Amino acid sequence: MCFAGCGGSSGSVVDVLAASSYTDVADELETLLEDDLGINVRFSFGSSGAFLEQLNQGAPAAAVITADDKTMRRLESAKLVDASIAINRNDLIIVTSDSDVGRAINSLVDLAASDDAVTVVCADSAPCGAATDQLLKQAGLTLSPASREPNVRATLTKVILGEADAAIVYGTDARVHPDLRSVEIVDTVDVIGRAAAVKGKTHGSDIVESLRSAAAMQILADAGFSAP
Amino acid sequence: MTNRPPHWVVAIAVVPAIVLGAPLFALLWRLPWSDLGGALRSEAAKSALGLSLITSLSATVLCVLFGLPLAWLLSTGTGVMTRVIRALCLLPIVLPPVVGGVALLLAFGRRGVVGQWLADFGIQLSFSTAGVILAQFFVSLPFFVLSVEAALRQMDIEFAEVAQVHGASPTRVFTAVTVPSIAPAIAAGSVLAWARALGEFGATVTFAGSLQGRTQTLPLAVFNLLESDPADAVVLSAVLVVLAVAVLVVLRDRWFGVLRSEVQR
Amino acid sequence: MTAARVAASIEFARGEIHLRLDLPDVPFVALTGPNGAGKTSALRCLAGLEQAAHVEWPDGEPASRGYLPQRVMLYPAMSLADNIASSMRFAGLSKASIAERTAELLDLVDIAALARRRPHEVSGGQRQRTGLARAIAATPKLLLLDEPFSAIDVASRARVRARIVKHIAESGASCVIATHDPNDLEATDAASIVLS
Repeated sequence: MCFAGCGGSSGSVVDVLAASSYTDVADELETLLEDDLGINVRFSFGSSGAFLEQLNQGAPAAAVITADDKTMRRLESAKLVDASIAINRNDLIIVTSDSDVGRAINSLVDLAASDDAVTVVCADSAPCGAATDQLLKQAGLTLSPASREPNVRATLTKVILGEADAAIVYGTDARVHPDLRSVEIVDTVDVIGRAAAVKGKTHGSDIVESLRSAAAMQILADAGFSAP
Repeated sequence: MTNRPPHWVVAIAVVPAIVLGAPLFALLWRLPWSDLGGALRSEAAKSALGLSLITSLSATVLCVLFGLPLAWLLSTGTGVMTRVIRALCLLPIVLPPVVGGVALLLAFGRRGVVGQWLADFGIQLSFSTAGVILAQFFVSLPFFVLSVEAALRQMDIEFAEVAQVHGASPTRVFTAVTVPSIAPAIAAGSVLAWARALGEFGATVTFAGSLQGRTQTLPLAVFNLLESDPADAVVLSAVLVVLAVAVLVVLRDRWFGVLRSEVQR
Repeated sequence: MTAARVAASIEFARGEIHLRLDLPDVPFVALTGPNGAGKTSALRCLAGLEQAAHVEWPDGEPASRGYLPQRVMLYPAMSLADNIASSMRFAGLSKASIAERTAELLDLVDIAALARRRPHEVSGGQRQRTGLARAIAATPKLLLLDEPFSAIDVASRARVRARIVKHIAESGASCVIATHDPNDLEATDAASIVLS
């Protein structure tokens, strides 16, 4: 929501659209960018899949961080952003609750074979969901999820609340909740996070440049994101 | 017309008309007319449409079955309990639907107060079509109850008294005299509740999740498509709008017409 | 007339109204008196609609009552015929006898042509005729009529009144009428109670 002082010309607040998987590094990245560039930065989060429509409708963002490269390619081909850069690599893992049903799952094969486990994954329109579909296809497995949630955080939340026994999410998201069981996936799918400046916005390329700095890489690494 | 509103009233009234009308107009403007059929024939669209009709109509039936007795109780009571129950009934209107969904999870979720107990019988409401109906019932019941309770309060108690003197039991008075008399309000309340149930998003996605064919209703499908296929999302949105407008137009004369003639007498 | 009549004594107080009256066991009793004297309240006490009233029935409470309130109160969702039939349905009469008697009563009060109309589609006098028919339909033991002929047009009022009074007398019911009209007293040969 944006009333007065939007658009950045007054230099008040510069918006960055970021995939929801970056929620936990936002504070640190914000501080870093503000120190580097001397501007006021504000992250807003959503599913990367929604960014295309939001930017099309003139969302006042200077830069975009997507969770995967597929989404970024769509933004690029729609000529909404300048050339993007890779800023991190993420991978998919399984999280389960600490219940009997959850503890019985120790691999993707277990998850696909389990009759009891209530499993949730991301919607196919969200990057984590697209990656999940790719992962299952690659492994030759089918899954019958109880729900396909709008984004990765909603997916994880269903396990935290105990409504679901297992979910497929990003490794970084699983780290945030150490009380959940994490199960590594052999031959997992890598997801490359990318950042780009929105065309015609001041500060956009500065922000992207800053996100590539060693300090930014360190923040991402601390949160479990691998180097691209 | 001697009682014509002055120009300044017209000028102000035009503003909300534009605010309400513009999105509708824009939706139709953006509609990909050449590719309407394709968007509607997709499996996701068909199952969402079917699921939305089934769940919203079920929720409306539940609203009538449970809402009528509730409205009756509220319309006769004056005590503290009545006020507490009425406040509870209003709550879903004021609550953001997502919060309603969280509250439903805490109550009827697998680890919820009631849900835990249901789970012992092998019943899980979250992620099920029944969960969708429950979420819709939760958000739409207030609209039905408020509309019917208002009609009951306005109804002259002497009608019921005459029936009582002639030997009708309270149940008989309600079914034979009261309910037919407030039929227009029951119809209007049902339409309001149905419309609310049809458009329900936040509580559904939070409580019941989103899975094609089981819990992904029309609004959820629109939200999902907006990210992968915005053009199809616009088509589905238009279906919702057309459905709503059609019902309002068809029912306007039949039900609201009755209401008008009652008022005029 | 050998049927046992209904007798009652009422004690009731609310606001300005203080009632203490004994109902003699005669076929017709007329309650008269100025506005606000409590005629309507007395009828309501006898109808069992006043919680605060203390009513004694020396010969037992009447098993059934018929009631015509001053504002008639026809059920708005029912046709005139259904309004008349309603009191017989509530009394548990058989379907066939209800249909037959409804037709008779529609003729009795001259509204057969309006049978399918709804209350808001007819005049005040036609509504009052319907209300009268509804009150007497189930042949109750005690009839309570509040200004029962006041809205009927002058030309046919006497005729309708004569038919109704005859019908009530033949049914053996006791009838209490609240009225301002001296003609009502005359036509019913009622024992008059003046409230003040």
